[in-house]
Order: sequence, then structure tokens, then C-alpha cells
Amino acid sequence: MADFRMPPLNGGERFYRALLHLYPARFRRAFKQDLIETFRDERRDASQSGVSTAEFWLAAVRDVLTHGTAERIASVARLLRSGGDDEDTLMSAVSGSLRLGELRVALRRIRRAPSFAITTIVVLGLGVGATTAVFSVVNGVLLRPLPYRQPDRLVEIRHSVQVAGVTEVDQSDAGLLYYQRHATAFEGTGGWRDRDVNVSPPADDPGPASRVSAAIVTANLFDVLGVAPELGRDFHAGEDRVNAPPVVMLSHRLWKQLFRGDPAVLGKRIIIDGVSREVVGVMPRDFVFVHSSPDVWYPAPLDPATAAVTSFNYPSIGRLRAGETPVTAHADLERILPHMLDEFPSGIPPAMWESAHVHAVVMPLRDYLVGDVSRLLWLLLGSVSLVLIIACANVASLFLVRGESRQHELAVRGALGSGTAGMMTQPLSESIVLSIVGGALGVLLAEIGVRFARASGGELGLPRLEEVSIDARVVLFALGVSVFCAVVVSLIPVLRARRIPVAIVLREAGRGGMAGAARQRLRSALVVAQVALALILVAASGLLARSFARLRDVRPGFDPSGVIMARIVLPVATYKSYASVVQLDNLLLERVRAVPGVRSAAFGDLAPLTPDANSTVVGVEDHPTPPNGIPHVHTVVTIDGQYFKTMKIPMLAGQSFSRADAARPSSEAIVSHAFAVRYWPQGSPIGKRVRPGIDGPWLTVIGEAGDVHYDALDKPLSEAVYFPLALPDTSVNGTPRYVTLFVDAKGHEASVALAVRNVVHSIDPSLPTYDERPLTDVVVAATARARVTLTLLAVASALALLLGALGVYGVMAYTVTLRQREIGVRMALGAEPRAVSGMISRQGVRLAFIGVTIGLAGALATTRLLRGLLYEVSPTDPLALGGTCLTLLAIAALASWIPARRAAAIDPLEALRRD
Amino acid sequence: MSIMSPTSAPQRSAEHFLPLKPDVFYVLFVLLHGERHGYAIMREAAARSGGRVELQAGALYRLLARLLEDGLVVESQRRPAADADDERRRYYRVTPLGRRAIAAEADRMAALAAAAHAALRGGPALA
Repeated sequence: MADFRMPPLNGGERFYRALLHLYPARFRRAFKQDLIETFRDERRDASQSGVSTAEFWLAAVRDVLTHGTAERIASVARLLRSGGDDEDTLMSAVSGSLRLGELRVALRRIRRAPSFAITTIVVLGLGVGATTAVFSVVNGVLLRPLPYRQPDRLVEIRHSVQVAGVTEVDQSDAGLLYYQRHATAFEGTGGWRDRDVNVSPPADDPGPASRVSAAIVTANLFDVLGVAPELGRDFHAGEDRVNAPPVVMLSHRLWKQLFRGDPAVLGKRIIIDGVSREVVGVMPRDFVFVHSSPDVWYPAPLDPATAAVTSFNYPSIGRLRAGETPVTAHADLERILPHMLDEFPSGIPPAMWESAHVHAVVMPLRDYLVGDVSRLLWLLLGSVSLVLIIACANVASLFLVRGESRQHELAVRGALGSGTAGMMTQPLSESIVLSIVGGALGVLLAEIGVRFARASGGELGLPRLEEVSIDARVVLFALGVSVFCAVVVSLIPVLRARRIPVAIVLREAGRGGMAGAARQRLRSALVVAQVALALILVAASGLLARSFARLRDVRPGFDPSGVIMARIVLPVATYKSYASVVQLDNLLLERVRAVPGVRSAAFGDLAPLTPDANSTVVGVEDHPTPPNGIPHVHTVVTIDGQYFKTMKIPMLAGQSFSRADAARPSSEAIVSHAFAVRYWPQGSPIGKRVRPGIDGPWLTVIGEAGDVHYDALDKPLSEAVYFPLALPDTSVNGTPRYVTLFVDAKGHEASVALAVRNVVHSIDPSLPTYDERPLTDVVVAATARARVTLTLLAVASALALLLGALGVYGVMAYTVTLRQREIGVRMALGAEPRAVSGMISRQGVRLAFIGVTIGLAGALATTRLLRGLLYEVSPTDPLALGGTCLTLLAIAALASWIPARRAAAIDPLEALRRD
Repeated sequence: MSIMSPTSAPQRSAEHFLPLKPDVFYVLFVLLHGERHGYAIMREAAARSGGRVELQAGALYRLLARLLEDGLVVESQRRPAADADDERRRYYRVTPLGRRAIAAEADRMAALAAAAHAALRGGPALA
């Protein structure tokens, strides 16, 4: 390899050399040659070892981006620390700028330039406002401690299992009892179930029954949380056993509503789902329950004799003893778990329990509650921070223009020995005043943003929304952000001013010569940065938009238009027998079908695309589970015959159920197409037999229905089994007491909804209907999270685009001003106006092009953060990224077109006559 | 202008730089074996650390800038055999201070390793 001559300078290397300008000049002078040599070595080795060109360039660009930026920050920090040539420091500049006299001067100067002031305040206000709004959500949801005693000791206890279709489950009633007896790592463990109940008012105050959410809890749950009731007492130990005297605790809200806040409520009784319960306590007004907001709490009727280890129905928490961690607590539970079946046999063969591989999962309660939302929130905070940086860059270029007029003065001050701090004082006090006002505007905007977040946060699935507000920490954050803006905005022009030789400034003052050109370069760099950052944001929302469109195109499998739903719960106390439930269901359906405007009506025990969807064990006759193996788990829906007609789910083969009759139970079932394909890919499912549970009665498949997304639109089609309302053996599948009524009333939705409520009331006045809504709402809600995320990012990118366009416009307009003389000369020498405008336009687009190139590399590196949020769209989707680049270039072209036209209209004589 | 600076390099002791970060350690360690140019340092640091220290070009030169400033490394005036040399490449060499720093770091790690081994052999079993 002795023939190392000057290698040819090719395009790639030229691009790399250009990229190196991201490093500060001093560093570049020292190491540019080394970096280029290394680049050549790396490229040679990469091509020899088969690394793709794209991969190589991505790594190279990322390297220069990260280290160039880091070195720049380090050099600015060094400069601030040492003050360059003397002992000036940033702090002395800041304290100098905060002197009352300086502030007064600043105010006077600002008043003299109102449009500059207003633009700055609005741009900063938007940036600070957006950032602060998102930060207040991050603060409320992620940063604030949970509102319980020593919240960091609270853990969520779940279990991992190896059963097809299920990976994590909550706690069982047997598990609750077992852990309370044997776990040693906890001060206490407890659990609860969420449920909706009918609450009848107190006997002396008749009124309609209402539907409220309830939590059925272990007696020690409030003790574990470390919260005491505001009024009355906590539950006593032993009240959470079957046959214990029925008691209840009320929320502050329900207490106000039902008892008008009467302290004499203690000892009174209310009727919940037909059971009379004594009120023993009222919870404090600001009490927030773990992850639901119930209005009543009553003890679970736990029964050690019948508790089963597999009924994982209770979300469960524990309070760690001092010195224990989630890890040691996990070890403690793993120690006792293998012996659970000895104490609670539950009628399950030990080998089957073993093959389910049940293991404890212990995680800090906060992490569990916040869950996958945290990534989304940090992502949003990241996006609005980009908007803030763009806003800063924008305002910095405004300050640069303004600094132009002061350049002469700065140069003289520099020549007379004023240091960095001295020169910074004035612009800094000016920008501090403007940033503080902008920040105040930002806090106002953030307040609006927080209202919006509270209104739409539920759709995002945000937990702890009631805790989101603008508190001291948020205001401090806004203040910090504003000061950051002030410093950045005023620092850039001054650091630049120090570099330009005084003589040049003084000679060229007022003539827009070399010094002006140097500043113009800086302004161009700011524009490039703005375009690059805007591209990243727009690319992200482009990807989300594509993903949202895909998600919206997913057919749910049923047609929600014209269908309204309403739910009813049939309490055990009133509807004791299975026959009475079926009888009521039939009666309701008959009356509802008779309502004018109703095309058809049907019952189902769950609504699609809601958290209802559950998975249950299903037996398939010709696919038996191996002995002690894991049984098949599928979505199971209990329906009446008109369900498919009402939901407009096509019957692909066979037929639907006939009218349910408790006296003559049906031995029929219907399966979904996906279910049929799984078990009988070749033949027809008709005539095959399936059964509920592992030992239920065999049911013959009489029909095959079209596929439905029961879980979620972005989850696979459900392999569902439909069972009839009246089954031969009612003990297996239970009696469907939670029923959802679906009514197809196309064109008459409003009147029919009211009529349905009246029908229910006329049959049983103690039965409230709830969750009444058009089925279309359910489908819309299923895409709500994607929609809200998209909206937020779209707003952020619209802001970014607007600011970026302003940036391009500003710098091109100023270029025209600076080059007025030159343009005048060109035109006097015969240049066509069109050539002149083309020249200016091209310059603007060229700047945007550089920004787009850098931004594209940034987007490729960052959009992978979106992966979990995208549905069937790759984070590097070429259509979205390409579209984004074109959009930005088009906007840049538009933004430079206006100044270009102005350039073309310059009168040569006028331009030359000046100065 | 840094001649008068109180923190100029020669006055610092080798201990001042401890503990050495892994990337610093490996760069000095590679240079103990002789003068190297930048790319060779990157390759050799990766090889000697079993792939754990993968420096990118930007990271390496920022690191070298700091090491030069701290006086742990200098640019070599001598060049290796003339025919294998490319005029424009710069070679780096470890200074006596750099040698002392890596020696002190090696001592520190050896003492740490000895203490850990002793604890593992004789100490109480892990609960």
C-alpha cells in the first residue's frame, strides 16, 4: 500500500467535509484532517466488510451530529466559565442585566419597537405555553408522588402465566387470603374488584335508582393504602368474609348527593344491588382510588372454603415492610407460591396448575399505574421542546436583525475593553423582559392546554388525570424555560459579535458589507436548524397520520351505524334463578322490538372494542387438550339469536340461534370464521362440537359467523365462540347478569333510546340502564388514543412549520435588503427581473434543502421512538418521509417567493442612489 | 494566553485523573504499545476491549483533544518507516504523565480486584 497519493475528492467526502462544520471552528482546525483520514479508513473497511452504504452513512452522520453538538455546547460552556479573555461570567452578566436601571432602559427600548416586541412575546409564548402544558401533564401523571402514605412502599402484585392468549393476570380470591396469611415481606396485602352497581336511595328519601361504580375490597385495603376515612371508621378485619354483616363506605361526592353531606349518615342503610348495607364511613373529598373512581366501597365476601386459585379477578396491591424491595418481595412470594394448592385445592389437578407456570410479578405501584403512557408523554414533551427550540431560533434571528443596528456600538464597546458580560448586559436585560412576558403568556396558554388535557386525556388512557394542574413546580418550570430562552436568544448575537474584527465593523457600518454577511451566515444557520427540527416533527406526525388512516380503515367486523347500546345489570337478590333472567331478557326484547323505529334488537353479554372482552376456556371435541395440558382459551360471547342481524355480522354458513327458552335449553353454538379456520382449516365447522369450560355440556356448531375485532382494532381478529342465552348446564358459564342491549334503530336513534329506557323502567323500576350510547361512539373511542396523539403532534408540527416558514421568510427578506445595491447594479446591467427573483428563490430553497437533509437524518434516527404507536406503518415509511421533505421544500419555496418578488421589483436607480 | 493559567498541565499529579473512564483507559493503554494514528487507536481499543469500547471518530477526537490539553498525550514528531507513512496523518504518543496516570489506574484496579476476590473467598455467603 505504498501508493498513497492524494485520493480523488468524491461527492460523499465533500458532503462529509460540509458536515464537519457542525464542529466549532477551533476543534475543526485542530482535527479536520484527522477526521477526514479516519472517515476514509472507515469507509474503506466498511465496503470491504459488507456494511451497506446507507448504514455507513447513517452512522457517520449520527457521529458528527452528536459529537459536533456536544463539542459546541462544551465550548460555549467553557467560554462562559472562563469568560474568554477575562473574568467575565454569565452570572455577572445576568446580575448586571437585572439591575433596575438596565431594565428601565430595556423597557424604553422595547416600547420603541412594538412590533418586534409583540412578535417575540407571541412566538416565545407559544413555545413556552406548549412546553409548559405538556410538562404539567408529565408532572401530574409521572412526577408527583401517589397521594398515599409512603407511596414508594406500595407495589402492584400480579402474576405471569403461560396459558395461550394470556400472559399476565391479577390476583385470585384464594391468592388474596393465602398471601395475607403467609407473605412476610409486606406490612399488608389487599385487593379489590371494580363493578358497576345499582344504588337505591335511603328509605326516607325516595328517588330513582342510580348506577354508580363500586369497588369490592378486602377489609384492610385502605390501611394498606394508608388513607383514613373523613367520617366514621375503616372496615374491620373479618368484615370481608362471606356472611359478615353488610357494610359500605361512601365517596365524598355520593355522600353529598344522597345525604346532602349530613354527618348523621353513619348507621343509615342504603340498598346496593338489592342488598341493604349500613354506612360506616365516608372517604375524604380529595381521596383518589387506585385506578378507578368508585363511589362506594364494600367488603368482598371472601370464603376460604370455596376460594379458587384460578379466579384471577382481583387487582392487588401490597405495602412493603421497611427494608424490603420489589425484588425481595418477589422472592418471598415465589417461596410460598408452590404450596398454595395445598391450602386451596380449588378442584384443580396439581399437574395442570404446574403447567400454567404461575409466577408472581411485583412492581412499584406508580410504574404499574403509569404503564405505557410514560413513553407517550416523554415523546410529547420531546416534541414540544423541539417547538420551543425552533421558537428560540426564530426569536434569536429577530434579535440578530435588531443587533445589526447596535453593531457599531458593540464594536466600540468591545474595542474600549468591555468584556462579554458587559456587552451581553443590554440585550440580555431586553430579552429577559420579553421572555418573562412571553413566559406569562405561556402559562396562560398552558392553563388552556391543561383544560384540554383533562377533557381529552381520558381518551389517551391517561391515569391520574385529576391530579394534573398548574402547581408551583410547573410555574418554576415555565420560569426556567423562559430564562433559558432569554439567555439563548441574547447570547447568540453577542458571541457572534465578539468574533468580528472591530475595524471591519467600523468601516462598514451601515453599508451591509462583510460583517453583515457574517451575521447573515449565522441567520442562515438558524434557518437551517429550524427547518431541520420542523422536519423531524412533521415527519413524526406524518407517520402517525398514515398509521391513523390505516387504523381507521380496519373494518371492525360489524356495522355500528344506527345501532344504539344500553347496559343493564340484573342483581342476584331479585333475579335469583336462571329462568327468571332468561324470562326478563325475552320480555325486554319483545317490548323493545315493538317500539316504532326499531328494526331489530338483541342481547350480548359484552360489547366489542371495550374492556369487556374476555377470554375463557373452551373445549373442542376433536382437538382434546392433552392430559394436564393447557386448555384452549377464546373470546366467548353469550347472545340471543338476533345478535348477528342487529350488528350486521354476516352468517357465512348455517344459521343463528332461535328464541331462548329456559325450559328447553339449547345445545347449539356458533363460531367465528377465525375460530373455524384455526381448528378445521379444510372442512366446515357445522356439526362439530365445542363446550364451555373443561367439563361443560357439548354443544353442536350450527353456524359460522363473520370475524369481529372484539379486543381492539390493532389486535388480530378474535377467534370467538358464541353461546346461546339458555344453556343446558347453567353452572358452567354462569348466568349472564351483565347484559348489553343492542338496538338497530337507524334514523330514529334519539327517540328509540328514550323508549328503551322507558321499557326497562316499566318492567322493573329498580333497574337503571347505563352506558347508553351509539355503537359508533364505541368504534370512535377505539381509535381515540391514536387520534389524540395525532392531533397533539399535528398542532406541534403546524407550529413548527409556521415558525420555520417565518424563519425562511425573515432571512430571505433581509437578504434582499442587504443585497439591494448589488441587485440594483445587476438590473442596471441588464439582468431580467425574473432572473433576479429566481436567484433569491433558489437561495431560500437551497437553505431549506440543507435543513431538510440534516432533518431527514435526524428523523431517521428519532422516528424509531414512535414504533409502539404505529399500526402497520414502518418508522421509516418512505411515503411519509418523502411527503414531509416535499412539504417543507414547498413551504420554503413559498416563503422565499415573496421576498424574491420584492427583489425583482427593485428600481435600479433608487437602489444605486442610496448612500 | 494559558501560560499564566494556574491549572496548566504539568502541575497536575497523575492521581488527579483517577479513576480513568474506560474509553480514556483504553486509548492510553493502546498508546502504551507505541505511536498510533487515530483510526488505529479506534480499531485497537475495540480489539483489546473485546468490543466493549467502540469509539466513534467524533468521540475519539474529542477525547484526544482533552488528553492533549491535559498533557497525557502529545502529537508525535517522529514518524514510523517513511514508505508506509502518509504525510498527512498525525500520530499520537503517551507522555510520562499519561504513563503515570495509567499506572496509578492499574494499581487502583488491582487493589480493587484483590479486595473483591478476598471478599468473595472469605466473606459471608450472599443471602
